[in-house]
Amino acid sequence: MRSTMLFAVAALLITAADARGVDPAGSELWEDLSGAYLGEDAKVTFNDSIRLMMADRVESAHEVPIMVKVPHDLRDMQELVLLVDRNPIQQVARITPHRRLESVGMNIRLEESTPVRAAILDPSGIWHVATKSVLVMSAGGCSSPPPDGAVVAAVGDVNIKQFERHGGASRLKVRIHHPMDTGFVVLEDGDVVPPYYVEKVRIEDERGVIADMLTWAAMSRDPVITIDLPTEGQSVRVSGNDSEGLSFEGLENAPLM
Amino acid sequence: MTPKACRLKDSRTPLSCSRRAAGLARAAACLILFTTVAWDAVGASYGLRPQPVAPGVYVFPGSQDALTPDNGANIANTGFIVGSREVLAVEAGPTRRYGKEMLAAIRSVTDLPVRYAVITHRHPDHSFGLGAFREAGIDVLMHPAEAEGLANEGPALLEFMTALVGEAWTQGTTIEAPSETLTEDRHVDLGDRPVDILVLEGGHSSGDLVVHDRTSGVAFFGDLLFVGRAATVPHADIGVWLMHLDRLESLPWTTGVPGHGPILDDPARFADTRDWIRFLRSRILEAVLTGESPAEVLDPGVPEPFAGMVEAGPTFGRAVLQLYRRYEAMDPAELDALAQ
Repeated sequence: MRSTMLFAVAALLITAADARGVDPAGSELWEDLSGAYLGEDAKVTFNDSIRLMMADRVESAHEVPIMVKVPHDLRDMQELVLLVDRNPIQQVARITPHRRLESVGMNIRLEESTPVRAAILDPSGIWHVATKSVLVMSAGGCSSPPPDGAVVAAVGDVNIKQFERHGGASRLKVRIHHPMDTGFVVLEDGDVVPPYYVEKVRIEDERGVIADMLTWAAMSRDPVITIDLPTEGQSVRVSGNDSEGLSFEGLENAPLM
Repeated sequence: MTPKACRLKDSRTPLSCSRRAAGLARAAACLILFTTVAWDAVGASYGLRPQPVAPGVYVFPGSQDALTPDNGANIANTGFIVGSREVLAVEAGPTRRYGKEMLAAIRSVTDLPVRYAVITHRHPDHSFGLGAFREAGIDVLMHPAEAEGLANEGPALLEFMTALVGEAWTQGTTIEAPSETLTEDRHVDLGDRPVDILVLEGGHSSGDLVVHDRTSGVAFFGDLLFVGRAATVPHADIGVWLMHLDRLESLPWTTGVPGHGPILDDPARFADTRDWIRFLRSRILEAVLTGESPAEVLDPGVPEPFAGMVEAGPTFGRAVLQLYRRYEAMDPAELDALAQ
């Protein structure tokens, strides 16, 4: 009896998923977006239990902090993908966790008012998608120069902080100093700033790799990546490379804050 | 520069956007202003009527709304003090049109010449009308750091404000410099009317001016005081600002005119500004120290008792990002000092 019920629920879920779900944001771009970045044959369900935290009204479109809270039943996720429908760079990041992650955050660019998506691939191959529609008051997060040009640290400098949370859990906060040029900014003299951005990031500690990330210039300048883990690491290492082949690395052995 | 946003009609089509570097302008403007749909207010007039608050002291109350095409950015309180010989104006309003209308409205009360205009700080809703005062040969006073900020940020902010409220209001407005700057308290006499101009640096802005009419006890506090409206913090040092509020509270005033909000006859409503900026500081400091993301601070919205203040939501959204960035850049010793 119980297995029949489960089967029925699963069948319903798959049926809905076949059509890549009905987009709660009603975006005409969703069909193409999900096809391109989750797969043409992707099974998709919109899932309210994933919390996508961000302001619903944005004035500083170059740097919009977001945080994805992963529900318990999805913490064995295979991949987490962040997408922005109406960006010239729609794909922000693809994160492959090698350990259970409780939340993932970063700061991103928004070109204009748009739905933002956090898509989580469960081990059975179904994408669970959270959607948030954001009103961008001052467009151009991808295509206009950022508000102040000063980048203090050298490109590739990595800054790692670890914070204690309840019950031995921890939060890792990684800042990578990088211009993250989108390739869509046209200067006063008509020159286009060519794309230049962080492509790959690996985060690990003494127990092995925590997560691998593929990233694009829809992450903000000097991107900040936040990851919540159920445990504390002793020594955290962040490494990666950018689109010009520059490798970078940062280590943190300092005690927890 | 163009204030028009580059819209992507459909992000599937290749983007070839030859937008000029208006991003800087817009982003800077966003720290202070906020967007509504622009339309043309044809034949717009501010309809300024001097409201007497004490013998010889008048206020033009600003609207308690956002910047809209309906109010033409008339959201700040302005006013003037009449002596036996001359007049001192406080603020110049948001546009040259406002400045002119303000001067005309003053003339409906007195024929005495306007000698001074004191601009409390650089923000557009207080300063952009100053061209009207300069062209009338009036001494316009400002703090030098604020004059510099106005010169640097003014053009971009004017462009942004025009997009918000419409050209019908801002037409003819240009960014002008004050005729005189001051870094120390100044005493002026309007004719049997001693008036103090106080300089309070590094709190709400780099240099806020407060005008205190000794005769009537009326004090114009500028944006050191917001009543019923969420105070904005783009250039603020909250610790210094709180000290300034203590000083202002202890001045011998009987009628207080805040930069925004209703006129006061006692300092109880100082709490509107004080509690709000204290809350902002402690909440955002806590977030920086515990590694919380600004997204997590913003997620629950504006908490009570602040949620009901005018512009609470947008101001909170802006303030969290501004202060978070500033506190995050501090070293542990500075953060400790802030937490004390």
